[in-house]
Amino acid sequence: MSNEMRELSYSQAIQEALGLAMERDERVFLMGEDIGVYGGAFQVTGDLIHRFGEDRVMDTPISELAGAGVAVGAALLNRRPVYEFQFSDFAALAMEQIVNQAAKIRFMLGGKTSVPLVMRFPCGSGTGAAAQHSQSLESWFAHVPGLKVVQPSTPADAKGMLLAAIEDPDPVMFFEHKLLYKMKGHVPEGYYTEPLNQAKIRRQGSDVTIVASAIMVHKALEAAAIVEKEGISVEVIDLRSLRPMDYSTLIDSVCKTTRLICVYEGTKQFGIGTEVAAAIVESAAFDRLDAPIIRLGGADCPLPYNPELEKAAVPQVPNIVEAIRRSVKGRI
Amino acid sequence: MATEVIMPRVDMDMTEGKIAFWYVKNGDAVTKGQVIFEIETDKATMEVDAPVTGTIDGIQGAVGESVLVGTNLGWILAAGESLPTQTPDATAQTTPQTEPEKVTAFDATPAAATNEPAAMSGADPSALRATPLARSLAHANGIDLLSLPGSGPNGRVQGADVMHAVRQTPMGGDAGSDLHLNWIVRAEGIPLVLLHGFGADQGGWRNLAAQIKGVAIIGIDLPNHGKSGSSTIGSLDDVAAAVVSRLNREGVKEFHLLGHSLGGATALAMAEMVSSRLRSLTLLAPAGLGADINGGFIDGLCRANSEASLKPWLAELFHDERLLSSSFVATAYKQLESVQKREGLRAMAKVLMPDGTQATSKRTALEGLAVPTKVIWGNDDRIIPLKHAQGLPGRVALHVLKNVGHLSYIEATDDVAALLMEQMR
Repeated sequence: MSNEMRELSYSQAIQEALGLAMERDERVFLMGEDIGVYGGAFQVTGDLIHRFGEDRVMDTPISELAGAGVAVGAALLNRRPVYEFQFSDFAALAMEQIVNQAAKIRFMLGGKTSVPLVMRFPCGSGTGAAAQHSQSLESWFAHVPGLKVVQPSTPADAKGMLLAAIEDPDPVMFFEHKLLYKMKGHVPEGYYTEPLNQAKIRRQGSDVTIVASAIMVHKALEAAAIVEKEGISVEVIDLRSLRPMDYSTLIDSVCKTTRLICVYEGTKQFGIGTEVAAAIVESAAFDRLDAPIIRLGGADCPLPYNPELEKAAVPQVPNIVEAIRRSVKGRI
Repeated sequence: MATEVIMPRVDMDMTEGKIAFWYVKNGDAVTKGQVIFEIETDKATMEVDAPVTGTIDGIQGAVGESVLVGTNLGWILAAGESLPTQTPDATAQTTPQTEPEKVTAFDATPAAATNEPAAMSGADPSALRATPLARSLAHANGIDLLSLPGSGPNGRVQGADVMHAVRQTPMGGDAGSDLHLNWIVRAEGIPLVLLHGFGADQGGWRNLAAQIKGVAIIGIDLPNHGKSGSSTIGSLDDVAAAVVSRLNREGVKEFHLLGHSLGGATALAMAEMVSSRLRSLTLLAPAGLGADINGGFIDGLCRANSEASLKPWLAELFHDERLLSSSFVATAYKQLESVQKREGLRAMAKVLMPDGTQATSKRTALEGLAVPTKVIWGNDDRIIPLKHAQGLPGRVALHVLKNVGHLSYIEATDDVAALLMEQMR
């Protein structure tokens, strides 16, 4: 591999993956609102329309339900659509096609066909875009058998996991946190895939396990570096995939550290950490738990427009630091 | 219902208080507001009033004793009331002095009060607060949780409290107290502790022990093995805790540790629990580093009804099957003769190696272990594959012995002894 330390931003990595997938497989095409000449609401598709033409980079009308329906139909006919939502919040408009069609067809037709569809969802808060454009709804989809739901946290994972998602025979919901788009990181050149069912241990530690996803992985790593100076050793696990979830990595880690904190941006109630916590309590790790599990999730309210309130409504580094101290020092 | 008298929280930082004086005794009539006892905290001495009018009964807590906030100290009975048979969960009721805990948007939901009907002796089990880890460690070490002070919030007993108690009480502990321990060699200095594999016992170390010079050697029969009693094993940690507990009772503080196969996995679990007491760690074809294990062997061992049906399985242990002597078969079969032993082994196999899979990985035990560590494996091991030795931390030395099966200490006694001596130099 030439130029080993080449750095790309998260959005560049996704664009590179889209280009590679389209070069490799002519069945792959892109759909979405303003993804053509405009280059996408977050400039992720960029100039792909100039490289692949408007038959393969298709601007769709402003109807997510219609667009999703076309994508599901195309996938059924052995095309490989990648549908971009401008904001993950708008998935609400397309739920019928995603939940009742894409997720079910393989099962209801006895496995005779599948829906090789990728849906890309820019998600998350922090951009001052208020309650209808800032949500983290990934756990909605993780609740639906038949879907795969992933949330890469680094540019390299974004590229490898998107290529794996496009190769995958089943519908993959691909969540991209908007604040990660500008984050740079090493991205290998060429075509490669990352598994869609494996968590990654981002930092090894012995006192407490933090299970985080998307941007929260980075906040957890920051918090871990802060408490390291206090002699607290934190293991940070990047979930990467919500469905299927890599339970064994989580269980092994909690067996080792005896403590668990789940950090996620979506609403705390019924969220990702709720599933992780329950799975841990049901597992062999139960007898290793030496402190109550802590969930840090989004506040139980629509996301505020006011930037200070918006920040206060999702877990931040100081909240994580405080949770680590409470967990490890037996203050819960 | 009777009114409880408890250790009150008189200031925010207070976690426990000392009983300084009782102004009343059982049977005394008290009126609401009357001073009934005096407490000392870190900061002050304070008188505590009767919360209601009635008759004092069931006083517990001697003068000079420190108890946690919320601990029951006695009862005030109204006319016609009698002492409750069980005190209510101390955590389920709030004292007037207790401030509600602050809850922020990100706070954990307050943990539910533990109310496990633990089969414990002594104090009131329903008042017990302990983490799952503390409970499992206490169970494995035969420690009475109710006897432990908890360092966690509201006196919750945590894993560290139990391990502290294990270290503090060399004579304590029921699990492990019936493990058979044999000083194979008595000598000065830090002893070498040998842990045998599944279905074996400490008698198997004879040849190896003869090659080790000038070191005290202890052989221990694992639970359900050899001369040790039968006990229910819930996990690998239970086995390790039993061994630790037995060593505590023997007064062995530091030791070199060698484990073979299941004994190797036990040694790894011990390395997690008591790493500070280890001087070196030697693992012979250890379990606990991967999922595969020869399920047929384990099953065959558990089911064999005669020496003849056992023999083919034992042959799997050797590279050179000619080494499988009739006395080896006879000794191995002896392990299975008692029905109780056999059931114990089966139960243990079911927990530790369900469906021919090793249930517990202890790979992480090797990470950051600061003592000399060697892993020794025969290249023709048909019980636990050599591939489990791959990818261990760099500081762990791996020795692969050529033309050796699962029992390197029998097939390559000299090599194993020499490597072991290096560890203990």
